[in-house]
Amino acid sequence: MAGVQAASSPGREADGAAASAVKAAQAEGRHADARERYAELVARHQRRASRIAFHYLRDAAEADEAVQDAFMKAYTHLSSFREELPFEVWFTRILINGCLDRIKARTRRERWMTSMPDGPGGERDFAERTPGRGPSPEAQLLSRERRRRLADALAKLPDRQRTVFMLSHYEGCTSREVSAMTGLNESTVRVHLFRAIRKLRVLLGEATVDDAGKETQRGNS
Amino acid sequence: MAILNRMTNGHLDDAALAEVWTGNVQSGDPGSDPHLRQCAECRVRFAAFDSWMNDIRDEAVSEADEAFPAERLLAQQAQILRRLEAAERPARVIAFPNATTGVTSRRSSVARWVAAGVAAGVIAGVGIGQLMDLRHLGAPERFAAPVALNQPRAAEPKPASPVVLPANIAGNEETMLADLEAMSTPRYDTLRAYDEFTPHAADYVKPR
Repeated sequence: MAGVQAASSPGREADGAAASAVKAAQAEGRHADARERYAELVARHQRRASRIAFHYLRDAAEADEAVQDAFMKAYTHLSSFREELPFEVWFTRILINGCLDRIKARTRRERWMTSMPDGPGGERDFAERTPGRGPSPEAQLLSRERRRRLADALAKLPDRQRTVFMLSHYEGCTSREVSAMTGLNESTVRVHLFRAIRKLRVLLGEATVDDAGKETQRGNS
Repeated sequence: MAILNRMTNGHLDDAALAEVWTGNVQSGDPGSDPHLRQCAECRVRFAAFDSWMNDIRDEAVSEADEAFPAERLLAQQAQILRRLEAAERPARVIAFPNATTGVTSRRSSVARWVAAGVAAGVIAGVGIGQLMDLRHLGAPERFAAPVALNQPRAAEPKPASPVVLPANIAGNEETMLADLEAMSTPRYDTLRAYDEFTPHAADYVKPR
């Protein structure tokens, strides 16, 4: 129930120390030292950041770019980082804003461009067609289908609900942390989380539409 | 609302389960709901709900982790550090490449003489052309003599005698048509029969 663990308290202390060291090195012009210390922060947070970006963008290459950009931005604006806030909260906010900007840009692009099929004649990659040592093709197909349904359902959630759900459930952040990352207050975070779950239950066929109606009343009360 | 549902049904519905689950996530205490502590049926349903939520998370997380294996993360980290290094380096001005050998050679001096000769020829040609043109322009029939501004303007030349047109144009239409026909009349005897069948323009012109 706790979700994927967010950085623990010792981890946060280490983050804070590393961020302070990077700031100091930057201020003194010791750029190589600053980069070296910053590499620690990158190593500690890049997996989580990549996961968040991937859940938003649903494209590994674009998520990779978004993560890189977020780390670049965090490094260049580290002087504005306040130590009383955990680094991961501050950084996640930068990352999420970057992802949302990319989604907006993509929507604008897609308004003017039509997407191309996967390959000539809609064929899949050679690597995809080659049998591997992993799960059976049926299991892979079912898993792909489940993931696609989940991604579609998640994409149907409003931005805030999606963000709150992913941070709370996938990343295991508390409502206080989500509140700091998103700028929403804690009770609003809880309401968004509840609504997101209810909507997902309906979209994924786990609850009836009547239940969804009750959810609306509940969210409003 | 949740309390009302419990009073009417006695059990937690899906929304109530979600509410309890959300509260549990935030509080970190799975057994905080009094109804769940008492009702075994709802506990089973809540466990199923919790399991469904965990499945969703595991699926999403494993999908993301598959998209970002360790090698990709290493490459990403290296790329971030490269970008940071590049961003901190002052902008590099790429120098214009110096020529290793002289631009001119023996052959090029000959080419320069040729080019100079051609240019001189062109200039001389243009100059001579200008001189010739001026001599031409100096001819009295092309240039009117400069007229003093204070001199009274000469009377407009009267139109001379009426324009004399060539005889074949001045003649009447019949003559012209006859001429045309004479020109178009075939000179071969074999075609003369066809010509007689063909209507002639003169047939349609009324004699004046």
